[in-house]
Amino acid sequence: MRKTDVLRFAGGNFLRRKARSALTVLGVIIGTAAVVIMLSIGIGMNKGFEDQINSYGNIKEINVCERYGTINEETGEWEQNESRAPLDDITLADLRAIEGVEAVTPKSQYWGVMIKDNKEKASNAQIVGIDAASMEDFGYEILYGRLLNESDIGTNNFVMCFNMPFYFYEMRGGEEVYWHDSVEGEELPFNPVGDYRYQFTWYWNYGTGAVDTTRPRIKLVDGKCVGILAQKKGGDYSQEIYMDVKSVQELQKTLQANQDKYYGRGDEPSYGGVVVIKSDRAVIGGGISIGGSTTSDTDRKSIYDNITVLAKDPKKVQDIEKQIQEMGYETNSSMEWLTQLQEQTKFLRSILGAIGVVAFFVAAISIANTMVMSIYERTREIGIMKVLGCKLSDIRGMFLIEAAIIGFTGGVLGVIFSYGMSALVNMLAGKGGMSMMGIDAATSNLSVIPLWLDIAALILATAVGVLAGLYPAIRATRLSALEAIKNE
Amino acid sequence: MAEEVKTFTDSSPAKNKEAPMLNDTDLKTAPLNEQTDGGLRQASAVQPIEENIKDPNVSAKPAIVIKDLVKIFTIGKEKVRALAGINLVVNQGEIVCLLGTSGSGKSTLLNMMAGLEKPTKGTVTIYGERIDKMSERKLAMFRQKNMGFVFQSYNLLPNFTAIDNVGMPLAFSGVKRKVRDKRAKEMLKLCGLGKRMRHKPTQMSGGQQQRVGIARAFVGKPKIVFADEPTGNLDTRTTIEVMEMMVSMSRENHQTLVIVTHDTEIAAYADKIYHIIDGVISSVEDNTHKQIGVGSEEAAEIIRAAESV
Repeated sequence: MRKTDVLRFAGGNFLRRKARSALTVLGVIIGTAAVVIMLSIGIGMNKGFEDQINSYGNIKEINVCERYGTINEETGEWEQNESRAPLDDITLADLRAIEGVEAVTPKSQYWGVMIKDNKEKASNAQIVGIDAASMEDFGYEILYGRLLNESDIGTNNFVMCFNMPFYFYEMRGGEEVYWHDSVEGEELPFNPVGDYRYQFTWYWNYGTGAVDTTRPRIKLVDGKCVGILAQKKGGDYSQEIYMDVKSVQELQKTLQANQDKYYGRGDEPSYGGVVVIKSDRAVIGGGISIGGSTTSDTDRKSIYDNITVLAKDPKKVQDIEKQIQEMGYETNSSMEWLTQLQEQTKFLRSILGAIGVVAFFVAAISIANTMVMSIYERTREIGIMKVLGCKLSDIRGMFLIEAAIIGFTGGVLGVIFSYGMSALVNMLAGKGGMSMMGIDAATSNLSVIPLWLDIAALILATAVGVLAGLYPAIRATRLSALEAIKNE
Repeated sequence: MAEEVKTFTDSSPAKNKEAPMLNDTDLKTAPLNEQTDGGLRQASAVQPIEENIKDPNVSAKPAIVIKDLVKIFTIGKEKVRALAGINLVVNQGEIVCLLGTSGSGKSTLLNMMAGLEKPTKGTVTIYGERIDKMSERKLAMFRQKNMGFVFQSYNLLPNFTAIDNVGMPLAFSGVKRKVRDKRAKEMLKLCGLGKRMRHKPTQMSGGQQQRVGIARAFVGKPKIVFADEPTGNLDTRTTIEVMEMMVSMSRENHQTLVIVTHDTEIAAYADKIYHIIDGVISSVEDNTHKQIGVGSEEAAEIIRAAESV
């Protein structure tokens, strides 16, 4: 028999008993949808953790810093390291050489304050020196302007995070604080890229709450804001200004020197900062340098505060971390935290999955039942076909294909149905302000259906159909042709 | 199968009291009955079949050769002997009738000729192939190539049109839909159903259904067509029509036709009539001389007689 004919016979049987085929398919739809929905909630939960953790920091990122000491396992006491592995350019190269590492950037951070509107408004800012060329690799998203790139190395160009414009508060009014965290989707109060000129300085009269630019010999260094980052999902609380690391270090040195030369350091802490100028109204910001330096047994010295390593694959993060730790550094990553969270909810997720599997199993039984009933009904027909010389494999094929059609149709409709259900679940959870395992349903979807789940569900539904049809199909081939014809 | 044979050999003649008694005189009339002798002690008498064919009046090629065929059904503890040593040879192109009352074993014999049932003992050879030894798979292929069937209850598939029903054996042997539809249409026209081609069995009368059945049996030009009480459900006029159709078709293509019936009027169409009583061939009748011809006066007479009642 031709394959197309086997298919035609099977399809004909499927269509012939419309009500029964429809009910069986409905069973598969519910089974498939149940599995997909249950798994999608599990996936949504994991995704929620990921989103949440991603909003604090990329899960593929590993933060590398010096190991100042370790806790002695026997005594439980903190033991300071005599000499520490330094964070310098050699380290950078070493880290880049690790397999599975996508990008590496050094970081040097300085606390600063941005001042604008004639010294009346100020905003805290963390000036972060990074490898300008690596910004794209690290997945920063730009809203206006552009990200830093290789051309920015050695310049005072910087990129501001989305929140900065919201954080300015009235300095002189004292009480009147009007800064707030940006709400998702909120427009910027002003465009910090085009409308402003920026200058850095090292003087910050914190005590009186004002910056006196009239004092002599205050060195002002021009800077340029080239872009503003897009708002992070799930709440953006960042306060960073990104600049090329070498430029920041250079800038710090220049301004420090100016500060020391004209105002003396004495016991007072030294300050660094940014000046924001709009038209002729110049305002200055300043901050405390937290740049560290360290000694080691070699000539090498740490020149960066820390180093961030980006893994190609989140699954490799912990592997890479281990290797870096073996190099003598302290590491931490969001991945650790995420793994813990996911570990904790594993049980819940497996219960959800089990519910889906049970539903699927019921669907499989229903397919088998339908096919067995079909054989009872068609005993005579099968007998006639056998007598007329239909091969056993063709008879088996007809039943298997019919079962597969039921499974596949149910699978397709089930997947479509599950998208509707998933949307409903998300809408209800979002509206009810429901939060599950600490995930805010308003910001992360409770149910997430990835493409692989659809494909897997389809394959599974079809396979279950075929498996459920296997017994009836074999039974059909075993029917005695003679007995089948005899029954009137 | 092996098990069944074993059960049989275990049950020596003494144990076989329940089985119908064999009539020795009847056995003698059957061809090749020199060795039958009750037909029970010959399980090991495996000889080349060709040698055993001593039918004198046929020089033609044998199509079906049956030797010492025994079938015992075990119903509960009781053993019923449906066939008690059948020997017969059907030649290519012959029209043969197995005539007997219900329960005589004639249908069982037909089933075994068609390979639908396995014999307890004995052999069925068709064109030199032992079909009693074939696997189900091989049998399916063999039936596909060599056999056509006409049934008493038509056995058409209710959800298929006449064309699809007739084309079914062709579909099973892998003929393309276009080709088989064309052949099915030709066949249906030949059977006088040119206007009923797209009808389903339920939309047709018994006679029409049986004509579809005949078209289906002959469409693949099989060498042998088996007909089991083909007219059992039909009135006399239709019976004659159907019989004439089958006979003329098989004559035309020199096909072997084996008809099973209890009706002597149908038997009259055959070349040879085997009377079967209690599982043995009681007598063989060479019917070639008083045979009813297709469209003959006798046929018309039968119809007239039946309808005048």
